[in-house]
Amino acid sequence: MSDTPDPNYEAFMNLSCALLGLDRSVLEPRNTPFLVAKEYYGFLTQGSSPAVPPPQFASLLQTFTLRSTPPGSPESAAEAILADHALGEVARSIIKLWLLSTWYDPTDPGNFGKRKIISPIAYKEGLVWKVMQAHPFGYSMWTFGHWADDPPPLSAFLPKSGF
Amino acid sequence: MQRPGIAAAALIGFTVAVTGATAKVHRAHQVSRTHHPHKREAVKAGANSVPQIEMYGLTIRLVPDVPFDLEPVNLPDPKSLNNLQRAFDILSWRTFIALDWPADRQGNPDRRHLIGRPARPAVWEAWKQNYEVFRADGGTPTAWGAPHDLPADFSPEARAEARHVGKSVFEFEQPLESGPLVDRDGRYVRYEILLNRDLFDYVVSNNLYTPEGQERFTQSSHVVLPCGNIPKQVVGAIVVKPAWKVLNATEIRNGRYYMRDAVLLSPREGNRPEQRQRAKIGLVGLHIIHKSDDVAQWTWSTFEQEDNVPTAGAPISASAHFNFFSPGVSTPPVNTPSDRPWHSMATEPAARRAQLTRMIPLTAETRYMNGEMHKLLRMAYPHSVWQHYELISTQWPTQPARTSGVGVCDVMSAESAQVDPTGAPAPVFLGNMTLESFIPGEVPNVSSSCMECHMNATTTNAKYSDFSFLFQKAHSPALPVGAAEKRP
Repeated sequence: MSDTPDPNYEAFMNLSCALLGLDRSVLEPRNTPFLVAKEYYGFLTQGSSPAVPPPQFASLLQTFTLRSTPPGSPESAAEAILADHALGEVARSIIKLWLLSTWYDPTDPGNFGKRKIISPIAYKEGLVWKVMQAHPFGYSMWTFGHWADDPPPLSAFLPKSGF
Repeated sequence: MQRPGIAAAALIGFTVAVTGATAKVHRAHQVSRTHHPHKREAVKAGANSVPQIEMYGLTIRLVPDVPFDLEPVNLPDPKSLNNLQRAFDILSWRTFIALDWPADRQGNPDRRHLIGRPARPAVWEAWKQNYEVFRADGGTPTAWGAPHDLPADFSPEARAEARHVGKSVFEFEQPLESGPLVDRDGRYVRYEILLNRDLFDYVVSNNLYTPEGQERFTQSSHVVLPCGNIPKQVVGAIVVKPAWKVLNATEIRNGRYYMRDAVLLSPREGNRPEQRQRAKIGLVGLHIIHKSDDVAQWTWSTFEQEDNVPTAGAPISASAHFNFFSPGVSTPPVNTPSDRPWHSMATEPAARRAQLTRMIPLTAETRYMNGEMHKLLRMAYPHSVWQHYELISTQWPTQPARTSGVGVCDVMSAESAQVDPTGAPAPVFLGNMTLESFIPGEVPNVSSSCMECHMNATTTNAKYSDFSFLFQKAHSPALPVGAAEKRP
């Protein structure tokens, strides 16, 4: 990906921050070896059959950008989108995407058979594990015997400065 | 928060020096503890006669000094992911050069010569074999510098022959009993694990070479292996893991392998007698792991001989020869070990010879750096065998464990380690096709990742062991004959 910021990617990240109520540094930490944000964005927009039809995704980003421009705000824009009949389902799927690294088809969100885990490596990056101060099912980076200890505090799950 | 070590390194400058002024400062620091096998001394040759190259605007010199710790590159935004990867890859190559430097009789780098001088053992070959430290009889390891000796379960004749030849190899199974690697000639690849002096001293001084010693130690402490440190000029713990291939006549002649005369050994098992055979063996893989103050989760460097395997999806020329792949052969399936039984002295039939393919290509940056380092090596010896070895990559923690007043280089004391003791390794996956042959790929906890795997290492009593599985190799001291029966 080129170094020139992709305005649509920027809008997607701003929308995600507003929907989740999280700082961008949580969703896109600096110097992360695997940037799950890029993977999600690619999943939503690229390939022969992007997860969201391109006109609908463009409408989502455009609506968010317009409504978050003052006197609007990202929060009010997110609320408006969630209240929208068509865009709301897509927004809810995007929230679940970040939390569970799983895509729920917005046209049929209750159909578990249509769920898709984005990738094995993205799976362990689901934010839900951090929020619940745990590790993903089936994958743990903690040391042998960790189950005998209290979980780390929530603050320990926030991104660190690195080198 | 930035650690003093990094800041100090940035101020001191680098062996990878930007200017003559910084190089001078660095040479002033090339003094170290006298006992160390790769102790720092002023480079005897004049600065102009030391081969050097320019890369990333830096000067890299061909010297046998192991870097004490990570030294950031002097580029804009040195702490970006890409520039840190460059810094770690430079660290890998400098360490590779220092450790493969020809050794003198004491195992120290012979500074009268440059790397690539034929027929000389490398520095790391004088280090302690894992079985000399964690002895099968649970005995006290022999002193540093004592002649190599095989485990006691080999016959006196085998031990004598090994001493005479100077090199012997027998381990052939890969981690997790995932199988042996059989080359395209049907011969088994052999492995060694060697410990440097700082690590050896830590194990011995803390009596960690037996399960009983580990139990006593971990009742009041936990394993924190020594760290390299720039201000203190300490190298810290290093482990190397070489993989050796039995060379055929063509390979012996072609000058593309670091080559040693060795005794291949297979211990007595059941009714099968001990076996031994002389052979020329060539280095096909080398892991180097190094713990340092700024990289408490260790730096994981891995190198391969360039003829090993093709890369998945890359074109293969008709004349290509690989150590572990034959074009057009479909059995066994790619990256799959042969079924048991395994007998390391056998020559296996074609259907049991490995078909390996690299699943994650080397990055363009790594290929560039390899090319530049090969140029540097050719300045010393135009036909240097080391120009046929390539860095695959370096894995390092993007969120390194930071301790402040709690402990030095102690991952378990760091707040960041509470959530991810591995420190979020970059690259996420890394393996060597000769050492983790059958687990390439990109599936967490399944595909090869040095740090993700070694984070699970424990002592024999299941206590954290600072990323080292070596402690699992400890044995209880042998009891005198009849003593077992007298135990209550």
